[in-house]
Amino acid sequence: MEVHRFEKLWLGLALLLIVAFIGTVTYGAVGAGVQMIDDSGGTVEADALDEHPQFSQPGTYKTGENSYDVYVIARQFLFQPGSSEPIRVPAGSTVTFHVTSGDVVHGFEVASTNVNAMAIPGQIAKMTVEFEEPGSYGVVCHEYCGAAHHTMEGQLRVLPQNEFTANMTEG
Amino acid sequence: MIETDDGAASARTGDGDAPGGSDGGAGVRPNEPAARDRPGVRSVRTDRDELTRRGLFRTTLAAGAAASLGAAGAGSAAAQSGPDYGGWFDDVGNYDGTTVDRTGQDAVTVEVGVDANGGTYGFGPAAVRVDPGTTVTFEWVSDTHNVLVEDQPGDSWDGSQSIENTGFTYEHTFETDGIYKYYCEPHLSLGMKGAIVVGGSGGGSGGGGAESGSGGQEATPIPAEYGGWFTDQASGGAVGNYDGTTEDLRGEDAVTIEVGTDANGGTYGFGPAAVRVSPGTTVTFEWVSDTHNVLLEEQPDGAGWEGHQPIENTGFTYEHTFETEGIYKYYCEPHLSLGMKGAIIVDPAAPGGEAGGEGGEGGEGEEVPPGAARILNIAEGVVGAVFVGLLFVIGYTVVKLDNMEEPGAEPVERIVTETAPVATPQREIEHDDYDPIGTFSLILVYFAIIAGMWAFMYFVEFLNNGPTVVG
Repeated sequence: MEVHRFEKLWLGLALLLIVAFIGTVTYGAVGAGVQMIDDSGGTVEADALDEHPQFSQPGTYKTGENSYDVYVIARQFLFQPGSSEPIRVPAGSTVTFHVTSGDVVHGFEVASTNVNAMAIPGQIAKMTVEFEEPGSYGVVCHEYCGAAHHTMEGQLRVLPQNEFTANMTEG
Repeated sequence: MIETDDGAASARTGDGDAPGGSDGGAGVRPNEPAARDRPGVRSVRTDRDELTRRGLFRTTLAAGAAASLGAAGAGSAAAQSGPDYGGWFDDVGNYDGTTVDRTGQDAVTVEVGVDANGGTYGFGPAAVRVDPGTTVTFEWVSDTHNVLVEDQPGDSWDGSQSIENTGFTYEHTFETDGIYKYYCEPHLSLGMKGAIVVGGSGGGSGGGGAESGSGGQEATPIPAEYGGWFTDQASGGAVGNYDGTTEDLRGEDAVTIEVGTDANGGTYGFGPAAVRVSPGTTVTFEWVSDTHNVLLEEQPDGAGWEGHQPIENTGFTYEHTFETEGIYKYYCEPHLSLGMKGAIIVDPAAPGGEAGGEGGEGGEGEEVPPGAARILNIAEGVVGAVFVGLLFVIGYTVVKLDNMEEPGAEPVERIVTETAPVATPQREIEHDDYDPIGTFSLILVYFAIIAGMWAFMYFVEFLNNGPTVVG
């Protein structure tokens, strides 16, 4: 069978493209520094969140020079904190989110970023994020959780370092 | 439809209109911290169900209770209203709808693991009513059971979590009024559940009966006009458990509003949604389900009510004394869109004079879509119909074309040629039919598009997009 040399060329190109796609995914997983959320967050008693040392008082906790832990509980239909009052973190910090649910499966997504996890009752989703610049982000629930799922949202405020201490209420 | 599913109308008829009104005050109204027997829409309905289901037994029991309870003698036989367990006993074989009355006893025993539910999987009795301060002894009469608390007022009772066997006993003294629901963890799925009702037996309140005569001031009642607050015209959804009536609780010193009653497609209601109280009344908000708060939409000038912003769970209570007359509108922030809204009218007018304008609001429940929205709906329908029609025509044409070709193809006969096939092509492919350069450049363009989208998608949208998870 005779194959035209141009056909050979674009067959080759197509194969190359496939290799490039796979290469991209590999790079994203290994080289780009994007981490997946695993089960390292551990578990928690979903019915007894009020007995948990941090989830009983969800909010921002300072854990080091420039590192913070943020504990968030997702419930029907709000984030604690996030909905009634924004989640507050300082700019230029490394923030570890610990997200869980008190009732049903929810989602936790800092809108238009890759900070995105499922909030599962009994399971803590743990993810570390670096916030460089001050700004404000929306937080949405992206797992259908009930009749008012569409209203479940919150705010994440990345405050300048000097404003943060003034605004910090917990931790 | 939400508006109809909660039986709110029956609540009105069941609970009487005015304190000390036509239903005769003292006898009928249960003497209760007003928590579950009065305002809860559902409790009233349960009441009626039970009356029909086991009226005879109840009458006997209540008569007995009234006879034995000298102190509460003021309460008539009808006073003991069946508590609302909220479906807790739906699958419990040894709960027959009766709550065993053990009020007046200092020590009450509940057996753990009695014969029920297809084995030794019952609490005996399943539901029991005791006085506040009663020590209840749980006595294990079969093996491998424990007692865990499902629901209780406050958090004073921890249950007995360890699995124990026959002969074990455990006791707890119940102080706080309310319904304690408990279960055996290993046998929960079999229906090993129980409830203890503390307080609330007997005694009629007399309500504000005396008040009705003392109204020196003939003030006009504030009309129950909420300006569409209970419809979806206001912020949030329509309120399913508002049936156009405002419960008149004027003259009561203490009024309880349940936060998170079953309504609006879940536990998303205030019970009752609308109340009328006298100035100076302390209203207790009692959380009966989780994650609610109480925020103010509107209140009279000078009234300093701030609501209760923190999200609270079952068992929490919050109270406020309403002094300034007028209409207070409030809601639960997480469930506003579901219609968890309420209103309180603080009305100096003496009870009895029925406020005008009641029920005017009810009509607003049935919302006719505005003209524009209706036209839009029709337009969508038309477009949809045209689209479906078009698809049908295309499909039909294709099928028909196929059919038309077949008869033409049939008569073709195979002609066996005598000569061998010629080596030379019968027809040279012309420039127009195959242009390697043109095809190649077309494919290159496709590749460029795919590669460009891929790069954008992955490196711009995914990798280069603000904060990302780094650990």
